[in-house]
Amino acid sequence: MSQPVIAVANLVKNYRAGVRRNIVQAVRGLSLSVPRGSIVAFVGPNGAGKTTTIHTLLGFLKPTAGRVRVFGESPGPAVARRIGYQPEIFYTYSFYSAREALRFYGQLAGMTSSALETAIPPLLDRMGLTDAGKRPISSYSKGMAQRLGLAQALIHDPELLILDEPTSGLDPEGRRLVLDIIVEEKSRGRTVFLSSHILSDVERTCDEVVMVRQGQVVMADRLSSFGAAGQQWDVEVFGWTAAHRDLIAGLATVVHENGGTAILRCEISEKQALLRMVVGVPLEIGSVQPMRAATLEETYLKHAGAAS
Amino acid sequence: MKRIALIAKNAFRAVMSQRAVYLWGFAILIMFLVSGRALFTNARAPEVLAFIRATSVAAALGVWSLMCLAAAVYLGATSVAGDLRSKTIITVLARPVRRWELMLGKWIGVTAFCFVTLGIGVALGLALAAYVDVNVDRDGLAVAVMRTIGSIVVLGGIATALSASGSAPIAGAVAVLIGVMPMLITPLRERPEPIYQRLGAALDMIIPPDNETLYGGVVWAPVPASPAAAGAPAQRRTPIDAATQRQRTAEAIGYAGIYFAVGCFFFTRRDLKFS
Repeated sequence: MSQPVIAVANLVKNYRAGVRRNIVQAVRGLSLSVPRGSIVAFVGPNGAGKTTTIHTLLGFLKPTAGRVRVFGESPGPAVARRIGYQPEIFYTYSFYSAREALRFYGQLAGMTSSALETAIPPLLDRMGLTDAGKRPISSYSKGMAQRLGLAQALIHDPELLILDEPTSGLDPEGRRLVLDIIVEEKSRGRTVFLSSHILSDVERTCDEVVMVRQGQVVMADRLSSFGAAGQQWDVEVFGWTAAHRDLIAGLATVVHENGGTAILRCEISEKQALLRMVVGVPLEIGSVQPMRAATLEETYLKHAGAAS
Repeated sequence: MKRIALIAKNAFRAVMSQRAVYLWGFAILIMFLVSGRALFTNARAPEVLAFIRATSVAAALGVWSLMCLAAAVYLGATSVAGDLRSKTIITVLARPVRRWELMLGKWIGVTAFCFVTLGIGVALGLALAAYVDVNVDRDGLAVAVMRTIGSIVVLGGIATALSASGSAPIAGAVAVLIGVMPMLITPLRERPEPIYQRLGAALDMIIPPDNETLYGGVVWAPVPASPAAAGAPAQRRTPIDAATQRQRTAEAIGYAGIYFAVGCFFFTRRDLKFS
């Protein structure tokens, strides 16, 4: 198995805050791994430690404890060339036009003038900024600035994209454009680490999700496991008594029992046998449905939401 | 090196975008007011006229050089701190840019703007001197300009280094304090009490040399003699000791380098936390 692009182990980041310089724990033993070529979502409520973790990956913050590796190296200028970062709000020099800004950021990333001449026009076109390319950024709408923020992250064709709320402030069209670009980047073999509050965006684009709360990972799983119909079925029956338990032994388990109603869970291979047995007893069948895993939203609310 | 040049160019352009042309216009107005006596004097006696014109041109050059130093402190103090406050530093440091490279680029950009400003002032001063027919000591002017350049480099560098603390007002205030502190050193060292002498000696070690303005000796005319002073020996221009001034400039730049290196050290190690 190839080395993960991002590997964070037991990251702790403490700050001193307030007049009394009390220690605030922003990240508390966070561990995560981002495989090459995947899109991994990093979700959690405000103050969960997402941006602190991202800024540690970029070398803005030094870990209090733990280990952070990007492409197998400590964060810093050596690996920054391989990273494209879009902050939540793209702050840039307002006197630049989009072309000039992309030129500036591209040159800082080591691109030559001729490479920039080739790269800028299609990128502006891809972002829908060709017509506004020569206008000062100070005249841009929030959505245009956000798209330019993604363009500056992509200009040097990085292997890893770290995107912090890339669709925040975008209209539906702009949001769709950005999500399409993220998926396109993945299809080109790029790795994307995406922080987002918008779970529908995560569901649409990501392969894996890492949920954080209070500086800790509370859940990490593949996105395909959320909300999917599983290999098990639930059969609701009426007229149920404790004496029926022996009849279903080996076929199903009782997951819920209330008065004369019970929900029996069985493997898909046992479904027909269970139904024949239920009809033969006889018990009245209320419903038969595949067991559904919790959706991403349900899981988020359970693990990372404010009420959890 | 290319990244430093890019950041320097960016810093220069950032200053230019902040209505630098208006600032230059304001500075020219100040220069015009300071040199107004040279242009509008009613003096008839040639020696009085020459004296007024020479002192006015020298004052105009001196005031302009002080404005350049003020610009170096202000722009240096707001350079890195401004980028931290506006968060524009995020997308720069997310690239393969070392923090010291960012600081050095800012210092060069700020210094370059102050050099251009100084060049404009010197050109205007020379034009004024030619207009009012005042003789300028070109060699002395070169030394005076070199000294101002040294002071711009020093104050700009110290202000930029302090700016990395994140607070432009503190950076500016401390840079000004360091700029005026040399005036205290000689009086302290001349005091009879050992504690003041030691304090003066300590400050002399850590504070760069003073930002002496030499333009008074560049455009010079003798003070008109009163009738009572008839027969007194002729006044002579005090020559500028170029070698000493070069040494002091080099010393000052050395101090700036040390302050800047210390600033880079702390900026490289500190966490960049953006709220």
